Amino acid sequence: MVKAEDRREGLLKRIAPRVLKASLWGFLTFLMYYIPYQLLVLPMLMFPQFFSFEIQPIFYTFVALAVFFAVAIQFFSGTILQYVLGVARALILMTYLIYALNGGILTLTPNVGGETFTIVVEFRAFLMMIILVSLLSLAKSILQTINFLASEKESSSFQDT
Amino acid sequence: MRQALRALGWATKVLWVLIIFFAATVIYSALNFRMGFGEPRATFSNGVVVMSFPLLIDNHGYYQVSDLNLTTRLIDNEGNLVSTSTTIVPLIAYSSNLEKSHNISLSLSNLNLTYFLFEDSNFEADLSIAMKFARAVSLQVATDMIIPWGAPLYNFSVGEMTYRFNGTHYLGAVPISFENHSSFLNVTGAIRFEIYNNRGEFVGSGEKIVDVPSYSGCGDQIELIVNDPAKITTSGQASVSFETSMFSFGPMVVPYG
Repeated sequence: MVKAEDRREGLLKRIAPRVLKASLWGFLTFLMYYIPYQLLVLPMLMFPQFFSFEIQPIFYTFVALAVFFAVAIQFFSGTILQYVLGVARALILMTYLIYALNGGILTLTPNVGGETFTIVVEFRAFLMMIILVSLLSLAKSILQTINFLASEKESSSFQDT
Repeated sequence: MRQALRALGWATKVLWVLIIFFAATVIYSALNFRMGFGEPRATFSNGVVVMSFPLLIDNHGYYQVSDLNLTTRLIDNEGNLVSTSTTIVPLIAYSSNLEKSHNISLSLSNLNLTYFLFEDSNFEADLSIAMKFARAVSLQVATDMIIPWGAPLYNFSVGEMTYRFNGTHYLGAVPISFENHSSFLNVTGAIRFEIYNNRGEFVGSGEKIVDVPSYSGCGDQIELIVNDPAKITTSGQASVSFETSMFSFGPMVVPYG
């Protein structure tokens, strides 16, 4: 009975700081996206005909994914899951960026003074830069996973001998 | 491995900072790029109206703007393409101003003059502007506009012919009237008349020199010499031709009486 209670207390002692750290990281990540979001809202309010509020759900999903991964990675820090989640984050955010930015071609049809405009912004080169850096992050996460596994193997070998 | 991972981490961070910096400066540059049109001018030669729009470009961003392409397509009321004009500016350096002329040519021979000389109408103008910021981000803006067309011979009408004898000849007088609704076409030239009676016999002919500037009306009469007064009838047909400095049209048959 005492042992079970001790174990629970030990588990709580180990988990509580992780939860706290993960929550803090989640909040910081949210803040990191909240400020640019506010900057995004300003032109949306000033020029609603140009910047549609339809982009809000896309942005919310992006922030939700970023916050989720920030929390999960911090929660599982020091375990293999931290790196696996890092790989998953790089892959998912990369795919989501390509989807949300429509492959680097955005079309807007604002109505200004009764005239309908068609605005096409093509930034595939820019998106390519983002993808390449994301691939670098992905490579880093994979290397971190390999490094983690290697160091685990190394420490277990030392313990065996 | 640890050193390599650290280097990779730093490289990723630096690249992210560079990308964000590049994105921010491109957006800032795009917001500091201004483009507008000055007061248009219309010139006329060899049956072609050329409307010249001064294109004012002000690039106060950090990057050059390249491959600026301004295309205007004019479509008449029946959906026919009557004019396509393109202005290309290969390069606009950063922190510079530029003025270029965008000319829209409209050949009157491409128009259905029977309609456009006498009826007010509208042209549909498809305007398209494309450009590239920092050789990385392309922007294309397209819109449709309605350009009103004012007929230079709007409401052209021929009144009842009157006759008088001046002692030697019978003279006929045909009242004519029209309004010049055009903003750039002046009706300066000759209006020629040939009158036929209701049996189709030639009665007489005459000519009138008119000078009707834009947005003004004309109410005048054309005098013609009648050779045989027996051929005069109260109604008939007038064959009208217009020979002006800007266009020639006719003969057009108009009933009178």
